[in-house]
Amino acid sequence: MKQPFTYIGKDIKRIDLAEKAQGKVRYTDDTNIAGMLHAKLHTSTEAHANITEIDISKAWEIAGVHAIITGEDFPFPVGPMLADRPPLAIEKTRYYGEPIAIVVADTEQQAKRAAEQIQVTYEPLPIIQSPREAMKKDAITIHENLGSYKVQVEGVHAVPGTNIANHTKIRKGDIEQGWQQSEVMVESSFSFSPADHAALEPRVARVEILPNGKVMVTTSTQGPFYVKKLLSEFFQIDAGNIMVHTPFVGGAFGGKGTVQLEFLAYLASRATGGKLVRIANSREEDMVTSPVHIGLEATVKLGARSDGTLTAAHYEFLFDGGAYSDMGAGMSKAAAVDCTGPYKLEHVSCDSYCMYTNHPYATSFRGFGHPELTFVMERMMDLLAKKLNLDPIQLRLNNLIKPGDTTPTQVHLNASNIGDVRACLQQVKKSIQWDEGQRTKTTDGKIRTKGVAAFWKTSSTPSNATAGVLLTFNTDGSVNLNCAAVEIGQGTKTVLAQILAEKLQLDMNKIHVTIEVNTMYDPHQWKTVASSTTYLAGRAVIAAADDAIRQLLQIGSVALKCLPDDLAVGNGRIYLRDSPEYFIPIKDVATGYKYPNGNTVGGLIIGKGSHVVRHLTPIDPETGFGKPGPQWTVGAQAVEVEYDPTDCTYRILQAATALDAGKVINPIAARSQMRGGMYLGLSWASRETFVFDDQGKVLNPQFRTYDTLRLSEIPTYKVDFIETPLIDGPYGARGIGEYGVIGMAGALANSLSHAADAELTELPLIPELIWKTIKGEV
Amino acid sequence: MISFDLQYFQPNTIEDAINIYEQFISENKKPIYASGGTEIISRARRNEVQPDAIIDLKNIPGFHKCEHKAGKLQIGSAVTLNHAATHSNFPLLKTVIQSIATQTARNKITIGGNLASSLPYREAVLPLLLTDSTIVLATPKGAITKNIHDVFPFNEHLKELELMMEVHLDSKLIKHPHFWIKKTKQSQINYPIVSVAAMHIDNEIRIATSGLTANPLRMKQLEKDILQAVEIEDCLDQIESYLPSPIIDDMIAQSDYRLFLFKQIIKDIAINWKGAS
Repeated sequence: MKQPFTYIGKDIKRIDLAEKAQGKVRYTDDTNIAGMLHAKLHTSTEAHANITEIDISKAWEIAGVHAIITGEDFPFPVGPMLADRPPLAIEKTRYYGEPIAIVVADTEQQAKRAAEQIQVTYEPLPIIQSPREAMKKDAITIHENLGSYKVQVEGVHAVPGTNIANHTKIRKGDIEQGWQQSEVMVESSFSFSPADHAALEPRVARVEILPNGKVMVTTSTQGPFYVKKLLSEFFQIDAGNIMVHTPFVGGAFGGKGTVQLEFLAYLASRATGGKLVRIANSREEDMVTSPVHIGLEATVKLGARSDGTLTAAHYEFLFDGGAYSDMGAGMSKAAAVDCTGPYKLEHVSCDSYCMYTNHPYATSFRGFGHPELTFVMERMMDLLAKKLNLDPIQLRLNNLIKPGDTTPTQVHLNASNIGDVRACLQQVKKSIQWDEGQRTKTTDGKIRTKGVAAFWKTSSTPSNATAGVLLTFNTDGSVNLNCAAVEIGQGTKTVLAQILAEKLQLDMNKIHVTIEVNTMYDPHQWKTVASSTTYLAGRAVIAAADDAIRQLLQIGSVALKCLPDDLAVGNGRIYLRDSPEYFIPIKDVATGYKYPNGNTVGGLIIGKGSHVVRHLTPIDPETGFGKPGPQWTVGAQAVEVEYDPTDCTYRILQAATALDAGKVINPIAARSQMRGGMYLGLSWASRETFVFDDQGKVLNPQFRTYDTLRLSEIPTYKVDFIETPLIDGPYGARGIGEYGVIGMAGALANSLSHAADAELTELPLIPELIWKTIKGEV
Repeated sequence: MISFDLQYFQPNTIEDAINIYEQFISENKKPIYASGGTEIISRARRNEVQPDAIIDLKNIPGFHKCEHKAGKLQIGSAVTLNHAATHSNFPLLKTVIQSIATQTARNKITIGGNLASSLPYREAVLPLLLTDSTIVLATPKGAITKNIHDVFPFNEHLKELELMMEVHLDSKLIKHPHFWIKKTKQSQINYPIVSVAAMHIDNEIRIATSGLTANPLRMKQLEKDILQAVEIEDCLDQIESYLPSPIIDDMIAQSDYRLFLFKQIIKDIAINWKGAS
């Protein structure tokens, strides 16, 4: 029998709806504080050069300047995985747009004017613009002291003397045997340049250092506790003395999962004796100076039997991590551990590298290496299908991974830790009307084609990733939910409230969620990334609710003169299970139960709960053996385009997703989440990229030239969910946040390759690229 | 945010505007006329333009007319693109204008500003080139009228103290059949790789293009070729030799793709026209 739910699985409107719809939300930079100083950066005009002199004398002549800070003021490298990046460039600059100096002044205009007066003398160095160039034996070394950098996270393998910031190796089975079993082989190379996250809200941070030493930070981040952790580690501040406050975040897409401006704002405040200093990115700085979406060059070889059964695969991923490793090192690992996509392969080898180049440095992007690896693998599957003359969906169905199989890092899959990718692929086949033809011609000479992609992803969480929840009760019996999950527009706080409503059987209106995060009041949480919040914080909500219920029953049993076991909690009451008409309202016990004579027992009800991932391990440096993440969410996507062969332009007609969500907690929100993901994936795949000149300068750091998909160009979206419960997920739910993005580039490229009858291997898929591919110029 | 200081003037007469401009020039300073200000604000943020003074023409009544009078469509240079689109009653002008930038930006961008833009595109000029418009210029000695082909592009032909005040064109021409196509890198809202406007007027075809070279062009020789051509293909080979400057090769598109698209558009226009005539 299906368990009936009251709040889970219901289309509940998001709790921040009214504020957002009315424009009443205050984001980080919507606050003007009297006496606040403003910081502006002087950034590098060179992509790779020795800095021989920084002349700040003219900048000091500008009125209102309080401080000018250069790399020498803090000559220590920082970074989340490998500490390789000085917050301000020192001795050399490694990318165009890199921060070189900060000016702090009374007004933003003064700060900007003074920053422009700083004169930097450069001695140009050879510029590396691609990861393959960076790999060459004779390539200039971008980080001469790579061997001396401190490894922050176990499992980052930099190779001193080279441009390799991380090398992850996968060796599963016996690749030679795999090739011998192969009757057909396909090999191809793929590439795309770095791009932007393009969040509407540019990054911004404020820092003040109080006379008692407390460091007060307000910042637009996905990881308030992460900011606290890194500030503490790199600036030797006691963690307890750092407070990080995060209001609503106006879009992040992974780009606010790392720490950059917070370091600079801290240095700026410190240089002014602790004054409150704000640093806010211009759009151009947000695109180029702050970290970007990673680029990739990949070469893949796939072997199969003539019936299409995959036998062996070798992957070489060269990620364009840019000038500093940041989360790029992690993404190169994440792409390696899931390199095969959701397919059964006994013999796998993969060398995945995060390469230093002279591009802006990369950080996490929604999907964390998976939209990237999936583009590559799904193109390979279509190439193989073409070579074998098999239907692309049939080839995939023949090879899908399932319980009983193992992943590239040899994790055994079971009925819980992986979803049903077969059901997803079959659903998406139906949604896109595959059987009506993969390629049809319209009466006006256009070509309509469909392309598919199957995908999977596990979360690359640290092995101690955690979240906590605190519940307090109001005198009206309503509950306050405090949790450090960050609302970045994904609706996480609504979902957490639903889980609590279900547990307490309490109306959603009686649940008050603190949307802002403050590390002083909220329990610790790793970050709001990796599609992990419903799982981590959702489990913490359940634990906290259980804790509160236990207390309510205990006090209730006193009030109702029975045993706690006789009672249940629901509808704002504690009631007798067998006679619900005997009850006491929660409001009468929430702050202590008072007898008629005034005696009171019980005190405050405070529910607490936390959850931590379990049994994760670092992976073996030689074979990749290990458990990288808690579970694999799987799905399939398809795209239909209408292609005009006369000029290689196209329209995206339909995009479909079928995802195994485990349990959908809020269907309308989950569908929106998938639509948003498809939008992001299609925008990236069809038009988003930075354009570099031959000096490594980004030519399009503005929305007038950095193209994104417009509302008038979006396709019809189709979303379906499969529900294979994750046994330890909250109500069976799996992480779904990033997944709408993952298969889009692969599905679009497959669709267009069929349409143009040309094998597209690069992104973004602009008409000119298709034209050149047809002409054989790619 | 604009980091440098500048002076801002909002004169009420053309004479005042020119006087202020002249004053700054005489002091060896850089004045700039403005109305919508979209380009100035966005480029001054990055110090790509650094005027010492902005002379805002919005308050000058003579720059705002948009009407049909004495057989002429007359549009003031400070008329916004959206106003011109809805009030000029010129179908091609409306179509072309509505493909420039966004609705919000078009509420600010003016006809004069678009024609005087530092960007290569300036697409609002295309219908004006096709209709052989005349430009009324304000000068220190009073208004003078010139053929658009003699003064456009402004950056090459206008004298220091000459300022576009109005554009006039024959009202009879506006309802002639037209053709408009804009090819972009991807999103329709992007700058054009190439765009082409054409009109059928008195058994002729008139063609003007933007995006192909540094300035928008009226393609008179090509128009003649198409008129005389037996096979359309024959006209296409000559196109490159008619261009006064190299085909643009930049991040929006490489020159070979630009030329490919242009030829294809011309072919479509020519076939369409041959079919119609």
